[in-house]
Amino acid sequence: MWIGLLSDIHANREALEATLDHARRTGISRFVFLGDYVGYGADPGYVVDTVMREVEAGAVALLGNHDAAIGSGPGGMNSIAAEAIEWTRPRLDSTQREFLAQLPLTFNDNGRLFVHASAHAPTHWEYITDVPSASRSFMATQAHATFCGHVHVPELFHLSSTGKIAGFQPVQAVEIPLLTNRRWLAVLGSVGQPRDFNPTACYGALDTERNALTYVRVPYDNETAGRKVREAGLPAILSDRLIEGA
Amino acid sequence: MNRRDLQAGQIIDGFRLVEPLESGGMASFWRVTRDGSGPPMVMKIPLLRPGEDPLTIIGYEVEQMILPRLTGPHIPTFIAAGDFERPYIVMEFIAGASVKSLLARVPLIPNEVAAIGAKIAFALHDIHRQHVIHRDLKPSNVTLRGEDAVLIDFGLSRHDQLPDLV
Repeated sequence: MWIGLLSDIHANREALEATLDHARRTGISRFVFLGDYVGYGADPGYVVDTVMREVEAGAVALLGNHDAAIGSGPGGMNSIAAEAIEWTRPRLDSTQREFLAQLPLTFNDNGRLFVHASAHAPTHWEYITDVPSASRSFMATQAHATFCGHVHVPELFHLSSTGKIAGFQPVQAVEIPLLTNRRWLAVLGSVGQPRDFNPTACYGALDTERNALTYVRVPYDNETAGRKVREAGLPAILSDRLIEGA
Repeated sequence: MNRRDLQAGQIIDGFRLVEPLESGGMASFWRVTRDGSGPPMVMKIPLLRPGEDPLTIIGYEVEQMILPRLTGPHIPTFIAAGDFERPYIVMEFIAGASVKSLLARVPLIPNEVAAIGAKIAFALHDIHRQHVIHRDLKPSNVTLRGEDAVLIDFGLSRHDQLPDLV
């Protein structure tokens, strides 16, 4: 079975539509959403409604730090992220806010762990950007493969049977076998706000039978998404990032 | 799997062991058949004993990842691989002479050496075009089959679009 792994949509309607459309045309019918549906983008209500519909249809959705901030406030966030949370809050209705508030932090399935940031203390929202942070996540779980987002830059860490951890920048559309002899930590890129100097939406396609992961890039109408961010009065950098992919 | 445990006639995941071939230091090799028919095949079984050099298991992982990606006349066609509990790789049997066997009659005439070198260069170019470098090129890892050199043992190889497992 193919599972689509979507993380960090960040209220980007155009990116989410293009990604779901691409995944469905590829034959993906099951989805795991790895959090951060809101914040930064101009369409939080649309994105939350879409994810709610997918959950009703059998998808799994996890909690991200921006989703948590809708209920608990933007404490600890940088000023731009905090401004986007304050802009977003009154634009969500009670059903949407309640949906975000009840999302789980983790999902375990058949030796696979799904979490927004890190298996290590998920509520601390640690960024997995190097071997030490990857190591903390590996040590916190027995899962053969962990899938997370949060960083907005795709990377794949692996832990060998000799205890060596290394990172790898995945090449788009090249299937990577998640060999059973070692453990894996896949940092998925971002659907709605990529930061790896590639503005196209990024999602993961996991083949559960062959145990293989492909990082997929989807071009979308980032000009429109960026224009809507500017017209909403959100900080200009949030619009620029969608064009630059960084 | 221990080398001593293997016997002709034994069946591993549908492959029947026919006869042992010359073994390397890190793996044993068997001629195998499936359903008593099909093309000649060889099963490579890494020797994973306690205290064994970890490079053995990593070499097995690398070959398991890279060999299925390669095609063409210069590599043995990948057929199947086992899992962590019972590791093996089944590939096409390459009928031909190992370049190592030529060492018995050195020195060779220059034209013959040049012809062998050219065949190996074509083979290397072919895998390079498929994003792979071999990294363990030596006479025992090259078999001459007709006009082609066939490269074997991709346990130390690198694929530039896949993780470096070493």
